[in-house]
Amino acid sequence: MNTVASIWLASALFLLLLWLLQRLLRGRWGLLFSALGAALLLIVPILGHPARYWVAALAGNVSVPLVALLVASIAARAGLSPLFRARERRACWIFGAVAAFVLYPSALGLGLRNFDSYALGWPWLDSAVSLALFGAVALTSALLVFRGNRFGWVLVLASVAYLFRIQESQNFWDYLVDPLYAAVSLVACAVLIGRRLKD
Amino acid sequence: MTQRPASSQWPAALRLMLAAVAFAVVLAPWLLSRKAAREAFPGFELSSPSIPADAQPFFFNEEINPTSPQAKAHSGTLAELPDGSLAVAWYAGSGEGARDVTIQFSARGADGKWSAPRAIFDRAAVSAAMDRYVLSLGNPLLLPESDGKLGLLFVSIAAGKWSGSSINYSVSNDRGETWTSPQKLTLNPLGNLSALPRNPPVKLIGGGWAVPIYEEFLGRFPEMLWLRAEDTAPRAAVSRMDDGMTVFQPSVVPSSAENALAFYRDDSGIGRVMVSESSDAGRNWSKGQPSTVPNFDSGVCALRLPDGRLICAFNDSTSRKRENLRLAISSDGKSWRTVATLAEERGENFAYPYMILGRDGRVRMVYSARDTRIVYAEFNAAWVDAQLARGEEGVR
Repeated sequence: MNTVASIWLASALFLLLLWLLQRLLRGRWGLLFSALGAALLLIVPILGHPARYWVAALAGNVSVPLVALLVASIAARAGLSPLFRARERRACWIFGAVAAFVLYPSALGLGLRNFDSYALGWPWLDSAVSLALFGAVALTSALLVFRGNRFGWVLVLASVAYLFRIQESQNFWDYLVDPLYAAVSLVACAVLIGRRLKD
Repeated sequence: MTQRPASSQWPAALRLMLAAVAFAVVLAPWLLSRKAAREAFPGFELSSPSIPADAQPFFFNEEINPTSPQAKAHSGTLAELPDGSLAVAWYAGSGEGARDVTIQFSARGADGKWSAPRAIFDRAAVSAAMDRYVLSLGNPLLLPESDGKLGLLFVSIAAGKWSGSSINYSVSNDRGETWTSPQKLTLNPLGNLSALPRNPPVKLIGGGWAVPIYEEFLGRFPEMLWLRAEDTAPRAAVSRMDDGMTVFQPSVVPSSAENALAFYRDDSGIGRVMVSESSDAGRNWSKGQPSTVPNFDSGVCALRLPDGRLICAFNDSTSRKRENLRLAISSDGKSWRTVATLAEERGENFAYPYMILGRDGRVRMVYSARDTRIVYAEFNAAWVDAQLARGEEGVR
């Protein structure tokens, strides 16, 4: 793994651990102790390997929206100005759920015989259809930015991250969505829909 | 104190400008990849070996690892280097998916002798190089570049068995003596798991490879890996050859820059080698149709002889073991005639044939024998014709 990708993955794992510990360690020094704990868990070998080795084995790529969600959640819990308001969170969940629905079934070999939606994320492989994907994400981002929704900028950041190849993956999809973000989004959307139906 | 307006309250012109910037930045990766897109499907490069001067039948075989103490040696891959020497790699260890599995390498130079097999990658080295836990290694595949470099794809398993595998890439600048630190290719969004190479790659016009690979997670299905060595990292992408229900382990045989046949290991229970075709340089493939070659869930490999005929190596054993390895020949890829038996022994395994066409027109082949040995075989079209004339196996 190249250095930049390694740093990105370690940073994402640090944020995930910090987010988890923040829920256990409350109070005035909660954030500091959570950060120290996360750093320790990142460094100390578990069964002979650093934690990031275990994570990287099964999840080499962490999407930009997931990292943004973690940063926003950690900042909000630390009492800082909320980066994500309700509408940003809603946009984030809907985007993740739609991406999961479009992407994962065909990645498992289901659906059309010669079609794999994941392949659209390699922009040099299929010009016409991948333009539709990139165009749809670009349009979503532009509309969100126009409406003052900060999640639109998260999609812009994902594109910048892709241009600089901060992950191992050369596939644009992996900068927009990952299995953890997708799973959380699907659950969050189910809850949103459930509440809407109840109301 | 004045309150700063929320971005949604900014003037419409400013919001429109920001939206345009966002649109342009998100679209930038697609726009910047147009040059690469024009090179994405350049067409298959056809190997054009000289027909051997001697038309005498020639057949030769030998074990590459005759003294190996390892309980499992499997999935051999073979490459002819620009100087005519041969390189072979396979995986070996105490069993499939075992922690002690290493990628083994041997070369045959001008003296005609195979070098002593040696491990070029083990899981500890791969784990350290790639910053991740590696449980085991598997299926290597050699990629002989025209400039003398030797590329290598091999599988690393993160968890479980083959469904937990992914493909890594390394290069040797000294004919296999030393190898660069491996790089993982991301080919799947679900943890990048379950991709494996197995059959020979096809060179592309202007450089790069079409490597037939397959996935086996929930369903086993074939894909084409489009790989091009670049300065920093190889450019890699995959396209689908079929869905996850019927066939896998494709063996691709081009007949022109645009046209190719693919032969598959059957996963549908039909019991025949399946065949599909592409007429757009491998971008799209027809639905697999049964050929006349028997196949009971075992690896196959096909090749075009210098005279245009197709040859296919396959097992037709119906027992749980792959007790034989045979050759069949065809002019159209659909109707085949079995011409020879390379190996047959009750209770033993002969599997994973891998064939390339040498520059002298001879077929060079490796396969796994008795679970522990990698056998190298070499024969010419005249030998195939001689077998055909004997009619030993009859028409199937």
